[in-house]
Amino acid sequence: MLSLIIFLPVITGLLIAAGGKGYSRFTGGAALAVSIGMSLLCAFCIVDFARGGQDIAFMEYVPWIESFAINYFTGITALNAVFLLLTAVVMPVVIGVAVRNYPENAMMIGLLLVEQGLLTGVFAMQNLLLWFFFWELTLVPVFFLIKEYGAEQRAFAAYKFFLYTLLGSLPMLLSFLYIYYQFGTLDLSTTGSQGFKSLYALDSIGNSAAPEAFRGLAFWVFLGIFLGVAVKIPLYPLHSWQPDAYTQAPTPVSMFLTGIMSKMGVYGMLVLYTLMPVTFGIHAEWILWIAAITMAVSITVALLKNDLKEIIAYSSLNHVAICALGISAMALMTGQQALMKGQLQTGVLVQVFSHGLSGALLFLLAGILEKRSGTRLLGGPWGLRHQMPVFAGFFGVAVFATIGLPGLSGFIGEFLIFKGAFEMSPYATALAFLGLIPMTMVMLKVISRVLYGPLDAQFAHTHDMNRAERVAAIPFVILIILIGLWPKTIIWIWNW
Amino acid sequence: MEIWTNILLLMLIGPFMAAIFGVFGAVRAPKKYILVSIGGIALSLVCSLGFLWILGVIKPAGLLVTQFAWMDFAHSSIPMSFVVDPLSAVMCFVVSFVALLVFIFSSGYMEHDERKARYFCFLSFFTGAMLGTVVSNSLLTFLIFWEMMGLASYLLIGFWYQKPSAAAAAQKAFLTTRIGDLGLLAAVFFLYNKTGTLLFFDHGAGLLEPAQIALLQKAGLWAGAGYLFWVCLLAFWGAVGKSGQIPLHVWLPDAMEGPTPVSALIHAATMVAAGVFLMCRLYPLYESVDGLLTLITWVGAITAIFAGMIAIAQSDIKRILAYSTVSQLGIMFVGLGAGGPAYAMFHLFTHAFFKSLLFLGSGSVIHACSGEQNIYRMGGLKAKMPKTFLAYVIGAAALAGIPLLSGFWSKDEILYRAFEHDKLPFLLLCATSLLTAFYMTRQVVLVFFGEFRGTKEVKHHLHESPSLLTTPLIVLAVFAALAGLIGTPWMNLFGHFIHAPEHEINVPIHLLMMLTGTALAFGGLLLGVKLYWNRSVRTMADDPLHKLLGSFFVFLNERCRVDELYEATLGRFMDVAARLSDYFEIFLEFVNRMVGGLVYTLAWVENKVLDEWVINGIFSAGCESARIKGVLAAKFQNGSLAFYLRMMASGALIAGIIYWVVK
Repeated sequence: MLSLIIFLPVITGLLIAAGGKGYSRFTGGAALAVSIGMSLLCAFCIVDFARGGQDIAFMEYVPWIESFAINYFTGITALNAVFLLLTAVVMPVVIGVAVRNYPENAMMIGLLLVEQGLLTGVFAMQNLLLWFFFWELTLVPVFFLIKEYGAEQRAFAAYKFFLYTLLGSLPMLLSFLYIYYQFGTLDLSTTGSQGFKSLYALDSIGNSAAPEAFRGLAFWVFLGIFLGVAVKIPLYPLHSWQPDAYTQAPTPVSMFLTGIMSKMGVYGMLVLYTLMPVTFGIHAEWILWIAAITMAVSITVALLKNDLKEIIAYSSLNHVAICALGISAMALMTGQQALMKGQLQTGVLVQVFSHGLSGALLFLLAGILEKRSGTRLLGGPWGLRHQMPVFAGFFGVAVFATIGLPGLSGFIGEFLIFKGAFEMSPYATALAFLGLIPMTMVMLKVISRVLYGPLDAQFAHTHDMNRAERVAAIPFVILIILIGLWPKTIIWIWNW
Repeated sequence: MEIWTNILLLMLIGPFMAAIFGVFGAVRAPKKYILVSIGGIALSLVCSLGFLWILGVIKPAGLLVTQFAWMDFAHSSIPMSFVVDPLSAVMCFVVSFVALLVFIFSSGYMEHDERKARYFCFLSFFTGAMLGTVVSNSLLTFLIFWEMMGLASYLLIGFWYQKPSAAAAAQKAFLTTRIGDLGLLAAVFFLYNKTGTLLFFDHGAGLLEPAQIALLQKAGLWAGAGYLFWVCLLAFWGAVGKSGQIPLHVWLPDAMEGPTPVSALIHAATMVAAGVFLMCRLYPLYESVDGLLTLITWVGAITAIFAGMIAIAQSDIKRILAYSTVSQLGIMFVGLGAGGPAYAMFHLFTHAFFKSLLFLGSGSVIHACSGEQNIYRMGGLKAKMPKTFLAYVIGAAALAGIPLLSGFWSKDEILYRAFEHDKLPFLLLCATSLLTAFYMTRQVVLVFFGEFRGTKEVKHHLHESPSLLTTPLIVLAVFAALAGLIGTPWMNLFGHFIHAPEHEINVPIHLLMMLTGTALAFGGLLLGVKLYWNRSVRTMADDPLHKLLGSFFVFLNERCRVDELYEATLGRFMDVAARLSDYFEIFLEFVNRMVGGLVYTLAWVENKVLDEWVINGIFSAGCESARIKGVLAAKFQNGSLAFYLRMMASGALIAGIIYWVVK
């Protein structure tokens, strides 16, 4: 089942992209249909997993290169379910936006469809080598999407993005190879009780499979994987590709870059935690500080920015770094704090989903605004609330979810993460927590520039969001409000 | 489910359903929608009366507490919970009663606004959130509704978003209260981490029950003070933000940019009093910490006198009332710190009536004066609008503390408690009382007496407001006059109802306090009459007080330049922080490019020197594959990728050489 969800979009996408100029209405519709169909299938699988209560569901385990014990191994676990769901929610909207805004562009639509399959693959793979394979492959469509269809500095942004993430993942590959060398397998598992050899808590004293040599080098293995993950999240000082890429990318690409790709880093960090909890625990303190500094500095920088997409990019930096904050606080906790750890992990996962929604929604709305105003730069005040009341409502939901207003989804994750992190490292967390003040300032500034004030003459004939735009935004808005008011709607997926 | 839970749900559903209904499609039939939203509030009022009846007549044993699962984790959960106790029942009544009258008033006041449906939608949302705050039995539930209230306040202050001043005021209000809210949020974290619960009452395991308080008291020291001290301080910071106390008072006067009925409901009677309510709710915690109640008393007293002084020099009819609100909230905090929840709540109770009356009255005046808000350009309205005048004077007299009206009783008790508790705050309160009577007299005289000083155009349109506006005023005037009678020292029904501990009353001193209060009220009144009676004050320069105080008056008129001070310090600080962060960002980018440049240079050197002369034979095999890939990639990327692959290979090689040399 999962293989279908992964490979059907990839194949269809490649066909559409290869079809090139022979584009007709049919291909756009086909892409959208495949995307929505696969998303529904994926959502169905996740619901089924959540009901079943097993450790791993929809498992596919096929020995691939047997002499090297490399297996094609996929499945849904409590760890990746929410990431898969996020992909399923965001990607159809992304493709829909692309079909609407770039109808003549089969290449773009095809690549986005490929990306949907690849992203599902990254989250579904339970074998480190295949995981790495998909992790790298996701870069390729993004590189072309930014380079070909981005804004004025697209080539620069595309290269920077590609090189950074590529170079970041090299040490990760080395670490994986070393793990393979020591343990003879690269199969992941959440519990290690699947009846075959798998990797779990490699560095713990209780792990009899771990050779002495591995414990000695554990830090370097850890660091290698961490670097790859930190570039992806991204954490300071490895973040500099991110504002450029988000700003220069076309709207649909920005949407899934912030919505899903940044979550690959978070997922990687969670996997890293299950792989090497002890080493992570030893080094969690400074990682926590890095995450806190990332949060505080990034959003303070945004105070000076005047480019709407850049502002969203910096706020997104803040919101993904909070997941890193949560995971490192988790790593600091001892066995006695299992209760709090569970809450913290829930917080991280909710934050992943919530930021995926609100970040993508913000970029969607920023794209709509850019189309109307012709610029990404905030001018104003524009007073668009008068001319575009529906847009104003959606924009308000997105912005206040970003600020973390209780009652919207952003609050739930932030609440649980800050709560746990305050217990483990109060000073670093306080630094990150104070970042909420510039966050509020920045977001209110955006609102007051765009929506408040007398109506700017250039928008006298601007029309409100049309039906297609509303259809794109509504799923996000509904989910943001629903999760904010009734967090069980998402928590039950991994919390049977 | 017990009957009272149904009542509770009905009470919350009324306004929230009205608000949801307002989001969808209310614009098509605004007139009908207004009736629906008024119906929602009326439902809440009936429910809150039901609670008063249950608690006052049926008298159930124990607290009425309900809870349901909200967030579930593997081995724990965070529930939502609600409580109805005398404290929340009284507050529910105040909120829904004032809200109903404000809704009725608004239906007349906002009649000609094209977005009136949206207005009622926001106002319903606010009322629902406020009622939710009041009945919360969990600090988290409380916080959620509390911030929803903040959002509603933001939306309503900025309701006339076309006005830049309204947009700025909304932004300032949200930001300032949010700075306060972060303190409360942090308090929530610390309390939860230490106790594992956020419920106020939970059959002996709640935060406000003795077992947990004892645990928190023993929680150890942190930076020289107890754990509980810091937690309570953080929660108080949240209350300071919401209730506009020093140093976070700056947003409240600006909030007057919103429609006047909004100011009456949110920024006078209910939301700004929520900070006081929070302190009353958490009083068992505050009681068990040394020093905090004294701090609260002092913050309240200083705010009271400070805001009272600013109020005497304002010329905007609503700003005077706004500073008066800040000042009265300060008095409530003094009541809380020096006496206890009963005193603070009683003043909150009476204040809600007379202050919302004054705001609605000022709305009626502004309505009549075609939007004019400057009291120097009013005057002589007594003859034109007798009903408004009568109601307004009653409200002003109640606020000033004229004997037998409601404000007299509540302020008298706080004066007495302050006197028993600490002499200096007491003196500040006395001065505040004098100032209160003075600025209210000044306002009433300038607005209603003398001759009209505005333009002919405005004068031509002067009229008494329609009965939709005056009826709520009259109802509120009755309450403002009489509500104090349920809390007199001889028959303290109010204190009895909310189970206040019986304090011993020293009768001679209490009588002395009553006389002092009366003397101060009349003193301020006479002073005001003496200065302003029959003076034609058309500009600030004409103001007798200006002549008396000189430049100090101007300083007060400029609100002691607190905004400018914050702009110069905090605003500056954020600016510098942003710039520093940006430099940090630029520095990192620079380092990135340097590293990139270094690799680039090395690659070039390698290409020129090593590749061609030295390792052609050794290395070319390794490079060949990279080159092939590079050629493929070059078709897409003009060869750059190939170049980078080469760079990487070279980098690895150089690293290898260095390693070999060092080893």
